[in-house]
Amino acid sequence: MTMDIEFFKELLCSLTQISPFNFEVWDDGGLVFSSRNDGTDISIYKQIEDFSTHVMSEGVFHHTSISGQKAAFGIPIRNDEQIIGSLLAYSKNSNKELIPNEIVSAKIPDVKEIKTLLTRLVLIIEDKWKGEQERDDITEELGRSFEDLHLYSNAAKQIKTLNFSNQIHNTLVLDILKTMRVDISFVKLFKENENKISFEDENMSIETNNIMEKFVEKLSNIVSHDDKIQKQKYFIVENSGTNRQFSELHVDNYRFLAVKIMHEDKIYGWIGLISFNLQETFRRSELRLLISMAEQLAMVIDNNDLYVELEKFVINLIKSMIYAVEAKDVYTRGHSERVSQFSSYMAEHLELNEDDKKNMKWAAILHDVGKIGVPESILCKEGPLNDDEYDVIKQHPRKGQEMLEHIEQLRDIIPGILNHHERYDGSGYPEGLKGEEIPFYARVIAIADTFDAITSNRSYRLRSNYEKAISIIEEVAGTQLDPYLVSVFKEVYVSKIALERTEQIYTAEMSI
Amino acid sequence: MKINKHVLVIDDDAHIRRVIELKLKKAGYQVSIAVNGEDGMKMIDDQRPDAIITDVEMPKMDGRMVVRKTNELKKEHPFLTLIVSCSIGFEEHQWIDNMQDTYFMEKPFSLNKILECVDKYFGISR
Repeated sequence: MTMDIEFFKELLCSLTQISPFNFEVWDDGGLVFSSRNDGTDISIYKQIEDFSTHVMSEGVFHHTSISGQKAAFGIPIRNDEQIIGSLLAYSKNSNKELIPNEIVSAKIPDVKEIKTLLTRLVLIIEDKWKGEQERDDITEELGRSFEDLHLYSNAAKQIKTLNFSNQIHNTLVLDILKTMRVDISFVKLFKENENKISFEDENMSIETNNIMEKFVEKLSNIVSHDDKIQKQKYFIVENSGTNRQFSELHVDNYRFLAVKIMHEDKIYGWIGLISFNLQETFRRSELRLLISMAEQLAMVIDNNDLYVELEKFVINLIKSMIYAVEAKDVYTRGHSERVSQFSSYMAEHLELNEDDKKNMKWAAILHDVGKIGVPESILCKEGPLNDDEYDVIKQHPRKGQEMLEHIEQLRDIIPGILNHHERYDGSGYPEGLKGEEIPFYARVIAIADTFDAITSNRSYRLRSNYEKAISIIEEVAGTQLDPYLVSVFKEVYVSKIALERTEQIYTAEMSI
Repeated sequence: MKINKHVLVIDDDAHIRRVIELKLKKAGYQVSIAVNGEDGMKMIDDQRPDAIITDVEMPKMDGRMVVRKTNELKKEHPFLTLIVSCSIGFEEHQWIDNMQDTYFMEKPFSLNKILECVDKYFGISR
C-alpha cells in the first residue's frame, strides 16, 4: 500500500498555519509530504530522516531535539498492522518573521499533549485507509457478484437454446474461464474422447499448449478414475504443492476445482477449473455457480441422449417396416434406400432447409410402405397383371397413408407417400392431382422412383442402363413427371449418381 | 500499468459507478464519475474524456440524450461510448447502430467484458 495522504495535506498545512509546528510524513523511501511553507531545510534533512527511521523501527511515539534547538515528535503510521511510515512534528523557528506574533509567543505544548495530537491524527489517517480498503474490497466483491450474475444469465440463455453443438459447448467453457478468473477451464465428458479446454493465455506457443493439454488430460483422468473422488459431488485441491499425486502433474503449483456433471444417477463427466494464482482461493459462490451449471449441462445431455435414443428407435422401426416390404419381393430389395438417396441428393441440390431435407428423406424411404398390405401373389407375379390385380397394387399409396397417419411426427411426410404415383398431366392415382397440385415431396419421389424402377431388375423385365433411363425420364417430363424437377434430377445425375456408378463398377472390376 | 486515457462513468447508482470505477482504475485508467446525464454532459464538455460509460435510465437527462448530444462532438473528437442498461428492448437497439463508436452492453454486465471492450478500443492488450 502506498502512502496516500492526499486527503490530509490540507489539514496538515492548516495545522502548521495555526501552530508552531511543521508536520511531515515519511516512509522507507524518504520524505513523502511536508507542510512547511518555507521550503526544505537541507541542514536538518538528514537528522529528521534518522529520527523517522528511529520511530519506524521502534514502533512507538518518540521525541527528540534537533540540533539541540528544535523539539521534534514522531509516531509510526501503520497499515494492516504493518509500519509503513511515520508522522513527524517539529518546531519551526527558522524564519520567525513570517509567523504572526501571537503564534510565535504560543508555548510549545508539553510532550503529552503533542503525543495525543499525533496519535489521534495517525488514527484518523489509518481509519481512512482502512475504510477505503474495506470499501474497495466490498466493491470488488460486488463486481465479482455482477460477474457471476452475468455468467449465470448467459449460461442460462445458452443452455436453454442448446442443441448441443460444439460451438455453444466451447463458448460455455470459455465463459466459465473468463468469469471465474482462472487460467484453464475444461469439460470432460466420458462419452467423448477429447476434453473441451479453454486457456486464459491465448498466445501460448504450440509447445506450451501441448504441455498444458497433456496436463489437463492427466488431471481429468485422475478425477474420472479415482474411486474416492468419484463418490463426491465436487473436488478441490487448494494447493497442488501439498499433494504428491497432483504436484507431479505440473512444475508450478496450482489450485483445482472440479464439479461432477450429473443428472439423477447418471454421471456424464466433470467440469474443471485450474488456476496458478495461489494468492486467491476458490470462492463458495464460484463453487455454487459451477455446480448449478454442471447440473444444467447434465440435464441438457440427458435430454439430448433421450432424444437421440428416441430418434434411433424410430429409425429402427422404419427400417423394420421397409424390411417387411422388401422381404415380400426380392426384386425390390434396396429400392426404398436408393429412392431415398436420390431424393436426398435432389433436396441437397435444391438447397432445401433442414426440416425439408429430413422430411424428403423419410418420405422417400417410406414411399412404398403400403405394399405391406398387398398380397405377395400380386406383388411378385411374373408377367403382366390383369386389371383387378393392378387395382390392388394401386391401393398401396393409400394404405401407406393409413399406416402412418397415426404417427404424429410423420404427418408432414404423408403427402409424399400418398401422391408419389400422381402424374404431372393429372392421369395418375390415387387422387388424379395435376402439376403443382401434386405435393412437392411426391413430385421428387416420383422421379427417383421411376429412375430406380427402370434401372433395377423387375420380375417382368431386365434392367436398362443408366443413360437409357435418363432419356426415358426426359421423354416423360411434362406428362408423367415435373419437367423442372426432371432437369434438376439430370444435374444431380451428372454430378452425383453417374460418378458413384462409375466408382461402383470400378470397385467391382478391381475385386475380380 | 498506467494508461493515459480518461474514462467518464455516468450512472445514478452509486454502487454501479463504484464497481466500474474501481475495475478501470485498477487496470490503469484515469476515471471520473458523474451522477446523471446533465452532470455527465458538463464533464464531457470540460474534460473531453477518451471514453464514456453511461447508464440509460437516469434523472436529469437520460443516457439516450447524452449519446445523441455527444454524437455531434465525436465528428471532431472521436471517443468510445459504452451504454450499459437492463431496460433496452430489442427494437430499441437500432438507434445505437447509427451512432459513432457506440456499443451496448446488457445488465447484468460483466466487468471483464467492459474492460475488454475499453481496452480493445484503445488497442491495449494485457
